[in-house]
Amino acid sequence: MKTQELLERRSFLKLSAMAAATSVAQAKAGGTTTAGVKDGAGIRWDKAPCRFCGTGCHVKVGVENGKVVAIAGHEGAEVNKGLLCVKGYHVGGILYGKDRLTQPMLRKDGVLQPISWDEAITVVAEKIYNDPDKFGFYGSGQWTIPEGYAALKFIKGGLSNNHLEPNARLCMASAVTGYVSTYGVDEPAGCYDDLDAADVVILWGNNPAEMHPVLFSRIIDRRTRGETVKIVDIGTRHTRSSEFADHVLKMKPQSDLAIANCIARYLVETDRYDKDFVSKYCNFRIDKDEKTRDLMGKASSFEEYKEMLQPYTYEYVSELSGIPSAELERLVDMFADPKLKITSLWCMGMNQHTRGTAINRLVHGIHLLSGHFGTPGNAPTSLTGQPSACGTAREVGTLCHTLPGGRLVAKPDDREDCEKIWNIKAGSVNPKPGHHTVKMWEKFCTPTEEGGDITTILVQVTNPGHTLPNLKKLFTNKTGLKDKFLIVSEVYPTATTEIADLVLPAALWVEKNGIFGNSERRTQQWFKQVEPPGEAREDAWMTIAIARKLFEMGHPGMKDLDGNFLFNLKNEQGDEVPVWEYAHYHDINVDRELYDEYRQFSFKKHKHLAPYDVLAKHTGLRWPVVEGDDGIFRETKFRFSEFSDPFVEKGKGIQFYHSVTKDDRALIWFCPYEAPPEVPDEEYPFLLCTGRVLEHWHSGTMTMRVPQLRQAMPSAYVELHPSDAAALGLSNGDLAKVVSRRGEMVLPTWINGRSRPQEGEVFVPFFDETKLINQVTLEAYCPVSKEPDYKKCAVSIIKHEA
Amino acid sequence: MNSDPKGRPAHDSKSSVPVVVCVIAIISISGVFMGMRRSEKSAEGNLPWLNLTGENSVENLDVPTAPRYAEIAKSSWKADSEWVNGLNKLPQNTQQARQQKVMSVAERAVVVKKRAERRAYDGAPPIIPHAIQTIDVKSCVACHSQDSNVLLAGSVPPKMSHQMFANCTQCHVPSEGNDFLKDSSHAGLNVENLFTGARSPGSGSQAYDGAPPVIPHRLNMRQNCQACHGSGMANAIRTPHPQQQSCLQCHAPNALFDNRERFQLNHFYKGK
Repeated sequence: MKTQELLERRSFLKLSAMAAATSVAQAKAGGTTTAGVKDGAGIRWDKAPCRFCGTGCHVKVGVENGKVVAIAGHEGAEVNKGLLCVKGYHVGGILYGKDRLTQPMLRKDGVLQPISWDEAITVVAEKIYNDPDKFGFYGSGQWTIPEGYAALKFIKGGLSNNHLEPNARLCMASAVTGYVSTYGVDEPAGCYDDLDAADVVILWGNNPAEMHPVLFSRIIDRRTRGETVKIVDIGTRHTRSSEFADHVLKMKPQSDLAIANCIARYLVETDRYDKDFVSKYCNFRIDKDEKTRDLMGKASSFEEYKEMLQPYTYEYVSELSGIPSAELERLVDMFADPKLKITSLWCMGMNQHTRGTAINRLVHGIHLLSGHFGTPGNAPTSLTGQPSACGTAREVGTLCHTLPGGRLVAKPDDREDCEKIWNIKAGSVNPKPGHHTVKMWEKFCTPTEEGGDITTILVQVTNPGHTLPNLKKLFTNKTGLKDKFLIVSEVYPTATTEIADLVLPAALWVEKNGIFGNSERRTQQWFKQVEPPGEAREDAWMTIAIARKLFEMGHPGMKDLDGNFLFNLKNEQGDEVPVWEYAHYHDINVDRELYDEYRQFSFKKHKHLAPYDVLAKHTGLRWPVVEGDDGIFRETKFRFSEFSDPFVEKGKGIQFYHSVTKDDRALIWFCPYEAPPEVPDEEYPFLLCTGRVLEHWHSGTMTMRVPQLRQAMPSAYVELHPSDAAALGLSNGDLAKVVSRRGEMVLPTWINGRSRPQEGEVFVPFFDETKLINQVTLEAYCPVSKEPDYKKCAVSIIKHEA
Repeated sequence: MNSDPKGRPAHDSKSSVPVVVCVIAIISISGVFMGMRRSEKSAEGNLPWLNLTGENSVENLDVPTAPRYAEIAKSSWKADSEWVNGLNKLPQNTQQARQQKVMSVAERAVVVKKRAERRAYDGAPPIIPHAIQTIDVKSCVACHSQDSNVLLAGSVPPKMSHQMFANCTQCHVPSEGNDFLKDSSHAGLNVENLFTGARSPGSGSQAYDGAPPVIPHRLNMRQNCQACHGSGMANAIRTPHPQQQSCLQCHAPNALFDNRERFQLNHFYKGK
């Protein structure tokens, strides 16, 4: 008895000291002070994919008293095996920035003033009702799959309007056109398992050590097990990834096209390409003519291909790229070695490129030509920057020319499929593609009488006022145009809400149910775990509520053939649930209803998705997910490969079953080197590259509100080569003005910091809303994918005296 | 880290002159660190520095070499472009030399407070409380590797509990350094955050006095118990029996910290 008392007293002393200490710490960290000491019992854990990038790590979310209090890497998740990056570990903090938007606000007399949700939805519906064809819907790869699907069905099915775009146009469009024009169908054939098997990983203008850290570690951590994995870093800057690379090939911007052609040239010339693979599985393709750059080009031959590669000699390419011939030879030798397993990774470096489609095709081409395709470790794989760029933008098809499941508005069959599944009038879906992103915003910022045929834009889950290129032309010029109306659903005040006419407070991440699709075709589901703050609500609810209001106003498109509402969702008893009334939104799982409806679209292009209830029991499954005779749903790791993909016919080995040429073959393209849209000159002697940093995600709306991340990287900066800095008289912390033909921005200088650009090049991260570098960038885009080039524009650097 | 910086001036002879220069350099550098903090602990830490013997010290030293004055103007040398961190080559300390006395409750509270301040919640990767070399992680390993035995200003740098993961800055980011980016005229958005992280419960329960306490935290990324609980660590709880290697033999993880979600994930469903 006495012992027991002693123990309790001792523990009590320890615990009180602890409690005092931690309360102080919490107060210091900006938290509310709690008196008691918690133990683990109060925390409820549930799974969710991370909110940030396209890697698709699974986290465990710890919730206590209705708030997220802890995060853990999900040990059972195949993507990350319990690991996360610093953003992922701090993802819980994104919900609790003090300035969360909590009520709808309408701009009256220049000031945003609170209004009710009912009023807000009415304002939106009236704007659309009055001019449905001049309405644009702009979302992102952060839309959950059900949110994106609701938006698509509403605008394309309900309004017969195709002005629907995701910000993924600014990020993944060139990867899509690359896959589609090579294999006839979008998305990678390989998956992350390739990273466990590859002998060589080639980074094409990619810095995964910062942007996809969990995947990068998956590669380099193999070295600690004594495995050999060589990393070849082909890029314009020396980065953290270069630090881990075996071979760092510093190239001049845009010369990636020539490098890929050089590899192909010597594989052919030295007769070391994979003749068996090429003769069985490949056809050749070129552009229609010197000038035309379209998606499918025209058929070509091996002889013509060989001929066109001729100019890309080591001498020529070495001169163009700045990479020594010996390094190029080594690349050729690697691809020529059938025993080496080679995986190529890329992200924005190849996609945000005025020849983005071309460089994507060329990298696929050298993998096909050399037979480094279709076995574990051999894959050309594009990584995505957003959590559902694949799942929502690409698979649901929230682009101006697409319909769900890889369908196109231009194809009568595809439109008919939609009209049937949605039970709407034949001919409802408009066959003409809408405006792509750059054009949509350009039209929005052009006076209506001068042809600006977009007057209202509804923005969800993205921040175009920060991330569009050439912001003045594509965004801020809206200010002062009387008949333009900008509606923004957001979680925090941003550069976009700054000039919005109506702001709608949105639920974020685990404040709602959701489904994301990551870079490796993995579809991941989560359940709502905490309540959104104030009156913040789900984006899918907003879309449905707007549609319902239009239905009530008599818009004919909001009725199906039976006179029912377009989003006619029923409970288990078969009764319609009025989900447009927020009080009833959670009576059923709206995500489940929308997703299982959308799932029907996934079969045509063999992108079979697992049913909602199956997804709910996994940390994601990679499509095609096919149900076996035993009733078990099995995922597919390696698409088009007989040993893994159930849709490949027996004995085929590799079968590109959505081949452009309808003969199960992929296309090896030749695309020439073409100069960047802006070349440095005397007036603008530097090339500006923009991008991300480890700590911040995209426009920093979420991560800049997490103290640990903000402290580590509190401001954007301009990074120069030390000798350029010396010539300009700039040292660390000096202010420099970055000036282009479009705008200017003042930033502190950083030399020998996070990365080192080459001479004549500068780098600026774009996360900082107080230093919008996109006022400087260029909106020139790839003619095929319409994706702008954020990586190269001519600027001058001037020392700025504050 | 171990490689010589390129363009380093070659030594003219292999005489004892460089060795003497090195010794002077060590003493100067040690002096800087020693001067940073004067406490009882650092006085203890002083001893081994003065008792340098054999391969522990001089020959292995790799201190940065100053350039000739004529070379300073060259851009290749500028802005520390070839700076080499030689901290991992500083003299090794012995386990015994840094045995610390048992902390009082108050001392322990200070340590626990500091620990909490560096974490958004219990289980979050701690932030780095000092400036770092921002592009590579080699300098992290110099002081924080499991076999490094460095004493800095009387403190032992925490050892990695998961040294198999090579990309340190993936999860750990600095809260110090790059002050020019924090300058009020430069700094970006600064909004208060109301996130309140779960805190460590402090101690594991014991079935009876003398029973091995249970582990009051999860074990993922903390598989190396010695990293935090080994002898000589600046932590609240140090094992009194470091010779016992199989910690989980007696100390069971507390099931309250099990974070399995509502569904038992069925890995049987995985494909080929």
